[in-house]
Amino acid sequence: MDTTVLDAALEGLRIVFSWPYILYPIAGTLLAMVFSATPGLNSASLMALAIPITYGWEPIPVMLLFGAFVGGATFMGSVTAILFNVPGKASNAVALLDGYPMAQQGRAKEAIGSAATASALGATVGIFLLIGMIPVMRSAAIALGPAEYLMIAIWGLTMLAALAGNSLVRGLIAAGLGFQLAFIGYDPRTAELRFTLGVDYLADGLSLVPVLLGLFAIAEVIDLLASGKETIAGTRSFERLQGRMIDGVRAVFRHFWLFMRSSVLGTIIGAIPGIGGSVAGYIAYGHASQTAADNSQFGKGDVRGVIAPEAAADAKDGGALIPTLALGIPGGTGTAVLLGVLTLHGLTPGREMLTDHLVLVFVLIWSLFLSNWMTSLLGVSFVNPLARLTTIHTGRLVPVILVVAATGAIQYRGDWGDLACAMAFGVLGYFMKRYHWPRIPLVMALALAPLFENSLHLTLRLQELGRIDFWSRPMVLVLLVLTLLTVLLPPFSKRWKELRRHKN
Amino acid sequence: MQRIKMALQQGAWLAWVFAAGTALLLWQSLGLSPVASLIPRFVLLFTLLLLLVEIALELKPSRTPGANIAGSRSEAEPLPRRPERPAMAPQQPWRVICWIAVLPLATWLFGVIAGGALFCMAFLRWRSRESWLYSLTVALVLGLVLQVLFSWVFQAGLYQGLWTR
Amino acid sequence: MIKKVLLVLALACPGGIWADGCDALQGQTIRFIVPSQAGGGYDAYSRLLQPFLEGSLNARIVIENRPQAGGLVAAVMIRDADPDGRTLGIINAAGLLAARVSALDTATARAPDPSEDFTVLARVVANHMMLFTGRDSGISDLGELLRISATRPVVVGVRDAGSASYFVFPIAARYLGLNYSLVTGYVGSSSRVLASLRGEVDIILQTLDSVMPYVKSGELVPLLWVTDPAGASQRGELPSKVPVLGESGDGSRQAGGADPLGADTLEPEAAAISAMLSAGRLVMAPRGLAPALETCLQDTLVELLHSNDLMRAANAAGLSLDPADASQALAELKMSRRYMEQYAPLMRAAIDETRQ
Repeated sequence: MDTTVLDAALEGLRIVFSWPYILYPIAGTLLAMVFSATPGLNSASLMALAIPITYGWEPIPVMLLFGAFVGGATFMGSVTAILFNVPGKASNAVALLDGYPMAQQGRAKEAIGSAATASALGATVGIFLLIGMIPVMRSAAIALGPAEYLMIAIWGLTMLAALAGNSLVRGLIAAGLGFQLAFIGYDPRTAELRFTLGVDYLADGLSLVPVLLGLFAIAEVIDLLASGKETIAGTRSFERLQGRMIDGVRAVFRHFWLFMRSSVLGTIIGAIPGIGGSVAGYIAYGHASQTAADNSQFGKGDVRGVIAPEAAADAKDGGALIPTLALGIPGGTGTAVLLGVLTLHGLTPGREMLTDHLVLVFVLIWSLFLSNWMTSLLGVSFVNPLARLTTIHTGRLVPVILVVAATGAIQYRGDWGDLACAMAFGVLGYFMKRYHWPRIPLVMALALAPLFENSLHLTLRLQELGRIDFWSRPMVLVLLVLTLLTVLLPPFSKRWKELRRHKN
Repeated sequence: MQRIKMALQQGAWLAWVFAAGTALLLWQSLGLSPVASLIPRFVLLFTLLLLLVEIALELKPSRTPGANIAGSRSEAEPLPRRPERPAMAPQQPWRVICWIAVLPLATWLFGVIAGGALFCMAFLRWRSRESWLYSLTVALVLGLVLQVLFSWVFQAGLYQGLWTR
Repeated sequence: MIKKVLLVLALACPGGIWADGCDALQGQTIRFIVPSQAGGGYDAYSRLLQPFLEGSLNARIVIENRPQAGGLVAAVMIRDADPDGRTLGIINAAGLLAARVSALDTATARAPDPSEDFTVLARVVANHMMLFTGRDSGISDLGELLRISATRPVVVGVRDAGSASYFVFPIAARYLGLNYSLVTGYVGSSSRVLASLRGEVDIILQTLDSVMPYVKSGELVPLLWVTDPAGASQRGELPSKVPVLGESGDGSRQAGGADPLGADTLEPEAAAISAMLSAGRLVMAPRGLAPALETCLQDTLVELLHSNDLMRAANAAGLSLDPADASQALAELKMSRRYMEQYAPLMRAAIDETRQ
């Protein structure tokens, strides 16, 4: 590493852990944890609230506080996703796919332990990749264009087959439904309203948060009540809960290679402006399922289904800072507000930031790092009382879950229509679950379809105008090879193993 | 006819609902420009075709739908009955949905805090058969927590209902 | 006699005339509705204003972000609120007018009319828009752009169809005699900037303050002021003199081309474009405010927007201010609407072309 960068890194680290500066990331982390545990609220809202309070502050406390907001805002949403199937925000939704079934099996502690570990370590990987990329940040951020975005979307979509379970037809139908839902609203290329059926609420399209809250949280509530299940964990006795927190921690190291791949994936996807955190989690989840030797337990409580998306979702925070700091282009909603904060305090992201204010950059980065670890450590400290919640009688727990989920849905945009939408999807999600229709391909397609359609349009248009040559872009070819490998390798590998077993 | 009836009982109607929705959207796409409708039409047609395949498969008598689907309900172990509190009996899904529909209605009328608290109280008292004291206490605490968190700590205005605006 | 004495006393008291108007807001919570996500351009201006407005009105300002439908939802919320001064907001007046005038669908046809459906309080900043190109594009100035345009279409990265800048570009191009191809789908100014840096597009149409860091670092080169730059506070920071559309001697006027609107209805495009976009970002309130309250809010805002403290804070944040009082802002709005209605057929034709 360049000595200038190293010096700045060490100075930034010293500042973060010095008194009284250490108080800022601690306070920021605690606030971010409360926010992220509340559905519908996210770090962007918290940062927006804090802006007027921090007017007139010096840059260092600002960076410390807002770095903690970014870093502390992911994990707690996964806790509610695991325990109650209520995602704190869209990027936490993937954790519930296997986390909630684990809680239903009485393994909530193991799920939280693995999520906390993957979260902290994933953030660490993302941050170190971010630091390593500082010298080449700007060129890396500029290099990725619509063609690369398209390949990422295609790669994500190829994973749908792996998530369809035994019924490929139903999986593909669910994906098709997800695409249809994504088409609703304004088409930005032609300014046409598509598939709104004359309903004004749909003019802006369907928002991912109410759909997720409905398909998973509300659907599960309906299922709990309809089935007459006594508690989420299936037992009223806390002592009968299986799984230990330490098992979850060990699981991350047992699947270390998967964890590393997911973290790198998350960082790369986070670095692409406009893609969004939920996509990182879904792609990591799909990749984990696709590359697993035995993926029959995915969606039924496979710990790998928690490790992969958690690692990716937290690594993406580091990735999202790459275009933000290097170019002043936000990697996601949280970094969009962070960008506003930086400019309001007279700090211009870009070349100036990476040369004249490198120490401040590292203060931000180390604060993010510290808050991620704090969140995970605090999360596991409370794992017992948190797990106990799954032994509360359903009749007492369900109305509280419903009100919290409803608050999250309606608070997201302040629109009652989002609550109605969540309820409608809750009913749909229940029947899909009851009659064995997969929901994951639907949400994955819903998350990826806008990226796919817009990138496809831009790529074709730019290719038509001769501005790009799709087949001569190195990253496109790398992604294409990666896509082919992840599609062909698992069945080929399975077949090869079967042949070898037969031979032996 | 018997086969259709059996298939409907096993949930085949869901595929028909999806097919009807897809057909409706396909019809809607006829009014769009070529640029805006290109990819949607392709997806809609493909999905409709798959739905027809699925409907045909569901009408086959030997079909065991959707085993091993990620996210589908797994077989639950029988739960031991505990004497201190009877579990809520299983209910028809439509009754559950009607209960849950009270929440958006209450929210629309009274806002998030009052509507949520009212729903919580009603659910605990009449659905879960909790005592009045417990129901009112939980509802009040929940309302207070929402008020403190959103209005005071987060300073985020909560949705005001029709009657409380 | 007593009434005359009371009137004199009221006038003599500092802030006497306004005391009744703004007094009603003291200690109250005011919703400030913003048509963008937290962190977006309108949000930044709103948060810049927030502490100053709180101090002046002695009230609490709560910012509500309502980015849905490109700002239409925010505009409707402001319009439909009670006229008690407790709901204010900032709108993209040019964008709203463009949506309404273009009437591309039922939703936009019912968009509020900023010149009729609101109480205009003040203008925060006009839209000072320029054409930019990337450093590595091979286009060094406007003359070079026009020379290239003679040999091949110039590729322009634009926002979603239906926005004001999308509306403006075909008119500006017609004035310049520019041969161009539009690439839509670059949602957000940052994606257009990236497209320019990557060399995917030749030029983009942006506000100066949104891309100032790139201009300062030399990565983006300004080619032409599309709107009147008078009042653009960052104009002096440009590395070199940049021509202005419509100014004599700018070398931009090209002869020829049939005018689909007919010569007798045509206004000079350059002035028209400026007028259409000058409406800018306006602070609005619902119609029907009490006269005293309306006057109080208007005067408070104008005073604030011209204050040194706010100017300093805006400079530090890299945001330009170009304030105007309510009457000027309203006059510009009405002029803007007139021109937009005149050019509506051209805009619809441009969008129809995109849909083929």
